[in-house]
Amino acid sequence: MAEKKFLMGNEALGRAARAAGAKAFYGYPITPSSEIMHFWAGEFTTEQGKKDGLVFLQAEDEIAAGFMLVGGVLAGLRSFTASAGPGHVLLQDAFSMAEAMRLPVVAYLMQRGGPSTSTVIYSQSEVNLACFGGNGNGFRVVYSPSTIQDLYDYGIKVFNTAWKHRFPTFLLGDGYLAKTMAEVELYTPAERGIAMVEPEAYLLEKNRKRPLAEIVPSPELEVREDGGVQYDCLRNCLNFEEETAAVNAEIMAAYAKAAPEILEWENYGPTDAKTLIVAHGIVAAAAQAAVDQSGGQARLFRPITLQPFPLEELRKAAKGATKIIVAESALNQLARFVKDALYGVTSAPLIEYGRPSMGILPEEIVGLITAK
Amino acid sequence: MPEPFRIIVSGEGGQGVLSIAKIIATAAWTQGKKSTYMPYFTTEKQGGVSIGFAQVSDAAIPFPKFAQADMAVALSQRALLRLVPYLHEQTVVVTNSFLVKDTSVAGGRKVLAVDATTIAREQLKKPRTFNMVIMGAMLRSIPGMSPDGFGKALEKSFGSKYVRDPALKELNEKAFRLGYDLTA
Repeated sequence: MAEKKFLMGNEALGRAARAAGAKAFYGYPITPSSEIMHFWAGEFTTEQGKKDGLVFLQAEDEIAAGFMLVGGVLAGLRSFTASAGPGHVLLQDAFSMAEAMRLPVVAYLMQRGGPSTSTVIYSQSEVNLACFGGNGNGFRVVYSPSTIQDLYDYGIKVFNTAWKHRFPTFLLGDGYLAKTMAEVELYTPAERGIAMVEPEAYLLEKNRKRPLAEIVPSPELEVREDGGVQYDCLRNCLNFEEETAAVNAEIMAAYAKAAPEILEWENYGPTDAKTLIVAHGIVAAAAQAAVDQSGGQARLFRPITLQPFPLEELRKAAKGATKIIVAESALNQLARFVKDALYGVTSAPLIEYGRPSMGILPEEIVGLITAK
Repeated sequence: MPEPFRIIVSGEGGQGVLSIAKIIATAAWTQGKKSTYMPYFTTEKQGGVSIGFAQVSDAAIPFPKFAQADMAVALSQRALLRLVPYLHEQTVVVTNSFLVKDTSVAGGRKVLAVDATTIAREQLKKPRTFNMVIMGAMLRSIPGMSPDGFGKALEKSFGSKYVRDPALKELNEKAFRLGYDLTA
């Protein structure tokens, strides 16, 4: 039964993972994401948690946690981690491996101040890291939730995107969302007609529903035989440049194929408004309030997926705009995506409002809209 | 859209500053309001100034943080200084006057100076209950909050603690009633 509760964002995420049928959490605590782990540790010790066979492991650091996560996924468990800031940096090694091997790792990442340890509170400075943090080409999916309700909704969705398309999938939240308490409507996926994609073991499985050759790039697959048993061996270490080029080409093709189905965005406000605001995450919530207060002058384009980025939809939204404002609690992270998308498409001036690690209030955006 | 009623609470880390904002927001939600609570803190567990943001409204609240508060609660002298940028003309300032001696920075605004620490020590014999006294004093100025509803909300928030320690329920209720009656 759907029910409304007054919850902290992190708890909403913990409950989303449970509702999605996640089995394993591997992680290391870091503010402002720690309560996600605390919640899971609590669930792990309940009778129901034991019955459901939950796995919980606090690793020695995020490097270990990341590779445990990879292990959980290879074993066929719907697994996830949660982190922030410097912990998010350390996870990138394992995320890169997951990117190479098409492993559906899931992470809830709650951005804090940066660079480095910085503040424990808030920023949007981990966009580049979440989207392109590996030593590869950004073959991952990044969702940017705006509200506590989004945390729950997309906290469930990330698992399906990951397992359906076999790409690392991240929910990129922030410290404000993580720590805010607000009303959340909780439900089971079945109540909303959402079928959860069943995970499947990658290793040593003979009768897969989905052959590995469909997922893992061909140079990375090697079948070996031992004592009459065939084993699929996955490689992430390759010998030739040509193999690596082939791996990238295969992943890129798979990503391009999946992207149209994954892409999400939102247009808000009167379509004839001349000022276009581009914002994501909680800043988009502030921008939405600013649009409401600006008396028809402005509208909002909000990318919900940052990676893949809704480039064509932003181009459509930019049509007719005479002023474009990019507001983000970071410097040139969302703005870089926007400039990429709009290069050569519009002659409207682009105003970058980058406030690294500072919240952006609706009133500030109203000020930008009304400024001459 | 009607503006939410906005409350900012500040004090020394460890004083239970954040609990005040959190309990008020939870109580408002339990009474059928829309509400949000957001903490703002630094890396110190104790010794830093913490700030809690709470909002109470009849309509959905678009953003958890705000620039101007309708009520500002200061639990220490330097915490009051931190709140000055958040004051507007009509802000009601609530202080624990045991620790906040100088309220001149509040300008001509209405100040509810509550000697919560002395009340908690002398009348309740439990200094830690000063938070409840402060919450009681806040209640009358927050639209749509009743002391009965607040008591029920506390029962929900403290559910398991109240079961373990029934005397705590009585103590908390007594403490917030004392604070509430001060503002009659």
